Amino acid sequence: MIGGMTMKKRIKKQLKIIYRAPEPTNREAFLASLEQPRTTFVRFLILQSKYMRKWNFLLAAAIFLFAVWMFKDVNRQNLWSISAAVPFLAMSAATEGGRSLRFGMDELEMAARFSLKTIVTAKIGILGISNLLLLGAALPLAYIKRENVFFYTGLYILIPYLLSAFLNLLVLRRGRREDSFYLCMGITVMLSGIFLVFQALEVSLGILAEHGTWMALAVFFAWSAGREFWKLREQAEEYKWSL
Amino acid sequence: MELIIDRLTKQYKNKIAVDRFSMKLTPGVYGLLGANGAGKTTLMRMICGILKPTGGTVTFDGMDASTEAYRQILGYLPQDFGYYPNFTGKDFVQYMAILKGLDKKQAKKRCEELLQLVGLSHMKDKKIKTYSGGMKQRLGIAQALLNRPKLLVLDEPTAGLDPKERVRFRDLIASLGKNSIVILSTHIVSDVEQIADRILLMKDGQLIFCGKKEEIHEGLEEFYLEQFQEKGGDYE
Repeated sequence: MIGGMTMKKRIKKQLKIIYRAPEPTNREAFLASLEQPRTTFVRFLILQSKYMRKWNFLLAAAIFLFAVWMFKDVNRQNLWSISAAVPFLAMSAATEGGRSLRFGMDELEMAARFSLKTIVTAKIGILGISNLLLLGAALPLAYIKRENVFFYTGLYILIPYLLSAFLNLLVLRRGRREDSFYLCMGITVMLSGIFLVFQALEVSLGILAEHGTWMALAVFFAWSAGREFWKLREQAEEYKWSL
Repeated sequence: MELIIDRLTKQYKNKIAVDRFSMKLTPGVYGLLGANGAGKTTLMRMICGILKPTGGTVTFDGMDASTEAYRQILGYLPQDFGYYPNFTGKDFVQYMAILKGLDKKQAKKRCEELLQLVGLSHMKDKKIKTYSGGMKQRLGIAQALLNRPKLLVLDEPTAGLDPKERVRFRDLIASLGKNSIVILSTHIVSDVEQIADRILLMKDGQLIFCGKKEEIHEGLEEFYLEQFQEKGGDYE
């Protein structure tokens, strides 16, 4: 048995020497003609999320934990602290979408199957939605007796988020690629500063809540942010051509 | 396999960058020559579907340049391109493979293959910021070949390559031109002379010559310079 197997191996070895396989011809043409396995859009989204900067998710987790901590002893004034932190979440989503332009990858990405438009949509979409879900998950933790907690926390959290998203997306769309990240950072720091000043001055947004004005503001900023996002997507479809 | 460019035009305010460019291309290597500002890069961007023309169309076997199906068969190397910081050579090529729709297993295999082909296997785990200009260019060439493109558009592909790398590149392009349509634009006349099956000469957005180098009786370089001297044009 063992002798037979050894003999078989020797014969195989000898055959390989005698009968050499011919060199492949037209290998590339043959491979190009085959239907190559393609990745699906869902798989692309999963893979794309692995290329997003990890600090985006860490920042979201940090702000969520901060919100949870603040909600333990919640009052109208310390909610402003959360309002001051939330714009950075929107900024991280917007600037993640603008990375291609910032680092000169846009032309390469535009010519790919999953083009820049898809990439921008995926990045901002994934981060934007996950941020909103995270903030939404924090809301039930706030409970102020005798008052409608969801409206107040929505006021202090949603409006800063949407306002920051709108302004950052506007900058990305209209600004020069080299400067846009720093402009976004500047705007976000400014917004954050404004909310901290409101906290120091003990500004109350009670009036807005009572008359439902906050709802109109939230809708307006949501619409504005959505519009800027849409325009940014459309802009990503074509290379910015200039003389 | 046919790329049809039909009266392609790009106008911006009072400047016509590409003026009614029309051509039918079949498998082979097409060398696009022209001075700075002739419209080569604008033409190539429109062929790649990343710049919308003011007029005209680009189709490959009936597929319009703006479609995903067209981009699936396209390989493009821009004149300048960037990279995400902290990307290694391997990361870059794998990232592009994902964008081109290759599945994970295939992407990995193809990346290894191409990095070997362009002579960057030994540098694949190093950050791109440590690469020389020639290495970055080779990386760009590798990503353009990921999806075995039927249409390969290369804008100044030999910029930054040393003579040995240029020869290697020429051999590669010559082999690819047998089964694909390869359009390469360059200032370097000798590159076109060596590789191209057909030569396209552009000036002021227009195609002023299209033919084989055998049709040019004098040397290509003299012919090229003559086109710009005749009308008192600037050339470099």
